[in-house]
Amino acid sequence: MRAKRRTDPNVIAGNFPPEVDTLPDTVEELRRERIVYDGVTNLPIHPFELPERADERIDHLGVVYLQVGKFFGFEELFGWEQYDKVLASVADALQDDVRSSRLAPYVHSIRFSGADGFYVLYSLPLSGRSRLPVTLEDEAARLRASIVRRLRQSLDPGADEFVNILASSLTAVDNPRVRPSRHVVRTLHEAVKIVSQRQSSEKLELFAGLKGVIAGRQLRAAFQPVRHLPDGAIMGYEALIRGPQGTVLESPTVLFAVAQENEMNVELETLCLELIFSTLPRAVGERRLFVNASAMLLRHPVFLDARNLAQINRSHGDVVIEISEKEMVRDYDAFQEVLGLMRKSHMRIAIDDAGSGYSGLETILHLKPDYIKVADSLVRNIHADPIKREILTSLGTIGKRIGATLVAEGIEVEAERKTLVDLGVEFGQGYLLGKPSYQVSARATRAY
Amino acid sequence: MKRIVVVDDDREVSSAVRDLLVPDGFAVDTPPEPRAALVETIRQVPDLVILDVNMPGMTGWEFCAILRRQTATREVPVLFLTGRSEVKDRITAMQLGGSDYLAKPFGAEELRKKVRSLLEETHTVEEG
Repeated sequence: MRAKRRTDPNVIAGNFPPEVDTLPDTVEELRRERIVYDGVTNLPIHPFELPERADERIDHLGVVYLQVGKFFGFEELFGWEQYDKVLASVADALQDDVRSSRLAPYVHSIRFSGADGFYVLYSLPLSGRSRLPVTLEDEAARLRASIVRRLRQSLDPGADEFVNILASSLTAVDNPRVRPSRHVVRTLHEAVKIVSQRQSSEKLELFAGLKGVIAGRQLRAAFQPVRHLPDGAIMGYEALIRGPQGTVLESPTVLFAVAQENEMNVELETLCLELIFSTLPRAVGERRLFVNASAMLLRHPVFLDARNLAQINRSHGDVVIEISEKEMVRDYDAFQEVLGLMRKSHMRIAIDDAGSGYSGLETILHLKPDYIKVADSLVRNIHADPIKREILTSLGTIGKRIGATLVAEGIEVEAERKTLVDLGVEFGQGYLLGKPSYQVSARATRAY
Repeated sequence: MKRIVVVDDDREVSSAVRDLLVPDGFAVDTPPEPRAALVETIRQVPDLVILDVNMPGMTGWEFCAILRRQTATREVPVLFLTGRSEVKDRITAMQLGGSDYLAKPFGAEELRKKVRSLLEETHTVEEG
């Protein structure tokens, strides 16, 4: 028999289980286990509580709920690989901290919500019989602080500021008239509700901040070089927007996520384009310019207005509009018309974030872009990942078929650049090749 | 001797893979159906699993996801060998913890190269 490392839901009254030494014998058991336990956190997923425990009564239930997130979906912003890391790290930290807690003797079970939340259930003494060594509220705060600390250490630099842990705690005394399973679920829902309310007020603050940024035109454009990978020569620049320095809205990821949630993308994007084209450094004006735009903006009458397109064309004669694969439209025919208008105005098209696992390839084949920008999640560690290399090779084949050039994004280390060159990718950008900068020198310096 | 398990409901494919890899010095098992193969793979962990995606009774995706949930087989390299060649299938393979991917039809040398590379990588990790 092999030992299995996992958290068992039968964690009662502090008797944390020893390593479970049974191995599922049948495919049915293996399948059931896969449903009951989450593959990333190794914790039981809450609604799939083991049937034999469904009717267990907890006289005085305590719940600490911890939710990963910060105003919007971290996973949508950074991808599932990063989010898997976050969840695994939170699960590890939580289990360690719960075990070493003064409330450990009262722990009933730790469960995962299946998406962003973790529940710690306690079987508490009924009041009057004995006092807890620490209040549940303090325990929630302690667990939260400890997990945040652990996340800062384990996440890639830059990503940690986008993730936060929100916590709530509450207790509920059992009512014999209520079915125990429903009593537990209702209490857990209540704990989630407390966190949601807190989150809503934070969202309102951010929305007010965004309105201020747009009204005060507090945005700046930075430019990142796109280089020929074999020799480092600069082919063009990608314009990237930044919000007010030192604020949470400085990051374009946060800025656009807040705008999207409040349906203000078109306002924000229109302002971005205005700023980019009115502040072009001379060196950027002389090279190809990559500019991001959402499908929503491109279909908007204000953008499609002939005067607007002519204005863009006058400001810069060699513009590539990047459309993210993530938000690609399904009505290709309608979108072809939009692209036709842009091409008439001498703009080229790039599909951004290609290979990031969204709708993808069909879109690329239909829209026949001039450039395919390969998602940074696919580029990261490509030298050590055969499947990523396979995906990139397929994108290259598609590119050849439709006459599109590949540009790899997010290149951070030399091994990635070298692998991309070996795979025939001609162009790329990323910190290895040059960070985004507000001042762009006219000299086309080589990066390596 | 390194042991490889090939799980493919198409007997012609699994036999062809076995005939290719046995002369290279590998022990190759070709269990006839995925459900039995899964339990056996977890009990007797091989050095590499080569998996078809479309199989009756259990898909290769599910097979791989279950392997990744088990402590014993969490690190075993899995090579998907399948007629599906779309990029989204490769992305699924990656998300489920697959180690590499080879689209059918494939060349003998291509398969040998991938198998060697996957086994070498595990070897390096063990030694490192």
